[in-house]
Amino acid sequence: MPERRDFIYSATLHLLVVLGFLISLPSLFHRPIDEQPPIVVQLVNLGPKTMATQRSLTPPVPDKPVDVPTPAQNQPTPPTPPEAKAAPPPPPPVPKPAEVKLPEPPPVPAKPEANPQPPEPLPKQKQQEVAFDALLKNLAAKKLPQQTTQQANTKPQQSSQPIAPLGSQLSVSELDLVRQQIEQCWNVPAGARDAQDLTPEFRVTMNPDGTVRTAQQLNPERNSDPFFQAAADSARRALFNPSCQPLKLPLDKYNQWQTFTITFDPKDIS
Amino acid sequence: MIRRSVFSSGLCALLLLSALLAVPGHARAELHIDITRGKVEPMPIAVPVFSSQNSQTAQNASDITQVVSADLERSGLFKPVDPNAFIDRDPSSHIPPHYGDWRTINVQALITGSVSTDPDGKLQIEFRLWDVYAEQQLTGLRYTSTPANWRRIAHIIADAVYKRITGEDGYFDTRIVYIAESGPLDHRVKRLAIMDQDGANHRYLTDGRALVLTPRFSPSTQEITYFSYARGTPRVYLFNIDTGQQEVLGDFPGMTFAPRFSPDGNKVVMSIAVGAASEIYTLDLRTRSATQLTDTQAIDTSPCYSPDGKQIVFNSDRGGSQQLYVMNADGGNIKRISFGTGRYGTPVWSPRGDLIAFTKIDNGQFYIGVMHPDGSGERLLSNGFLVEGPTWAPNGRVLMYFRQTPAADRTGRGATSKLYSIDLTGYNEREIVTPGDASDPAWSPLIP
Repeated sequence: MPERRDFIYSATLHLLVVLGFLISLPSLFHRPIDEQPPIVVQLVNLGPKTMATQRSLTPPVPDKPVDVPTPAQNQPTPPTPPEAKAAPPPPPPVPKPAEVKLPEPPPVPAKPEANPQPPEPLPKQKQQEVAFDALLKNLAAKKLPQQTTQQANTKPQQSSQPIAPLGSQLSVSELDLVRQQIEQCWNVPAGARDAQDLTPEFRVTMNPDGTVRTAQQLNPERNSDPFFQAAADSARRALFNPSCQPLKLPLDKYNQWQTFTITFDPKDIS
Repeated sequence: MIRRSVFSSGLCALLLLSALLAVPGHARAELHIDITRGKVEPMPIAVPVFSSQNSQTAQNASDITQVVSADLERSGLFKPVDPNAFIDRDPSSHIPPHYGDWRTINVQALITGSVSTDPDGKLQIEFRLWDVYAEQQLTGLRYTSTPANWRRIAHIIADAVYKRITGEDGYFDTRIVYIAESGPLDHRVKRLAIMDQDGANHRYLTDGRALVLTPRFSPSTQEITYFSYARGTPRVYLFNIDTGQQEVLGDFPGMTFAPRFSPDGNKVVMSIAVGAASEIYTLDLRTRSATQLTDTQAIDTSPCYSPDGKQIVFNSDRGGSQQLYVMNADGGNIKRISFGTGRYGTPVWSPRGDLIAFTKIDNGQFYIGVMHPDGSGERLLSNGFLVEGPTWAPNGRVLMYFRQTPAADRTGRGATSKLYSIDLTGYNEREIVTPGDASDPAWSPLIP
């Protein structure tokens, strides 16, 4: 008898397992959508115009001319009086001990000494380099800018939308707008050696008003290369540039953009 | 039996659990943005006059600030902001600045500094570079030197700022040697002259009695090699800037020309005319022994070492027209690298190693261009009636060359020859002001 009970027990459980498989199998073979395919574009509301396709490179847009404050503006905020320097404890912005390297040897009119130019390794030719080179002026290439822009435009844009209910997603045009805002403020490391490899990445936390609160570099280990450090600094300046803030992001989708990661990658620069 | 059933039911539960986990949920991935475009424009930088101890140092402070600002501006990568726009006109160099005051006027980087004298009468100059947006100090250094050295200190400060912002070594503390030209075209006087890269401290090194051409700096010593008719026969000479001494390099039967130092400064590579042909030789400066590298009936000339000293680029008409070739430093493995239309000459390997600059003559026009050492990625940066003789700044970022304009008539009136520099990106072409006409510039390494 117990054998029969066991049999029923086992059969029920097996049935449950089969049932479980039947429910989950389709999703096992159906990979979760981790990236929004271009079809998303049809579902979301596009803004009146999408501006990401505009090439925003050279010649640079001379936006925001330096406003020269009128003398009247100058007076209300007088420069810190020289005495303030003498009296050391000014407001406690800790005077950083500053890496002041002490007396560099006085650069006296040079005695000849062996100081050969350090040999530099030849950089590898890379596919990316070709695209990056388009940023550089070439008197022989007349049609290049248009062609490369076209290519850049026809290339399927990788979507950076997270998976979330459709209503709360950032639309393509909203993302384009932000992208374009930051691009306006990013001074690319043109002319640097292997510039196409200089790709600093940051995790950014945002204030609800669209200003950047913090930007933490995710690949600081590469800063030992002075070129990379310079590129990371230039990216950080783009993020904190007041000309490009606040970022034009919809407040009702704040939970979507309160933190995000951002990569500055000159590979497509044309 | 019971144990078996417990086992199988446990297994089932596990399977069920895994099946449930496989059901897709609304996973929240973090938003990611790729910025793949940007702009290229000079960075707004503020260089307020360094604070000074007394009226004596005030002049030094003003001069130094001016030279630093001018250096940065000339590079084309910085745009010094008009001091009239400053809200804080006297920022201290010892405490962090009021970043807001500088942000308001769109300044991205700020240099503060001070000049004082120590009891020995030496100048103490310190500066700090601040990132206004990131609100942090990027670098800070102090120098002590005799007051006469203020200009060099200013260049050294500009180099430090340039390096911190771009990642690239600076090139402001360097000199240019060139051929100063004067007189009518048929009686041209050509003298060796030297000056700082910004045109200051100009002086002549030779008196102009003998024709001199193609000066080249030693990478390691204060020596220049050049080509001259000083003793009747055209020869390659070595000139010591400090002592003013000059000597003929090697004793060869034919004319020697187009000299250039090896990267370690121990050799000179040059051409020697052999009948109608010319071959490339190296001359060891310590042993004075010569080694022949090429052996053809063609004209092989303008040799230049790669910065690692392993290869040499030169131009040759061995294939019919004048083209660029690269060979190993021992003369082996010769490969042609230029395949464009026109003729190519005066190749110069970048100190960075990634490019070779050249002069190209195509369709009656002269061009200054660059290409990768394998011949790919040719780009033409400047052109004109005659542009020639490129030379690299020691950081491999800027090129200098000379540009001639045609004469208005047969007497040569209206013809000019001037030095120009241009950024590697092909932008920021600038004239280097010289007292008279100028040609054949050669950029020194950073002054040790």
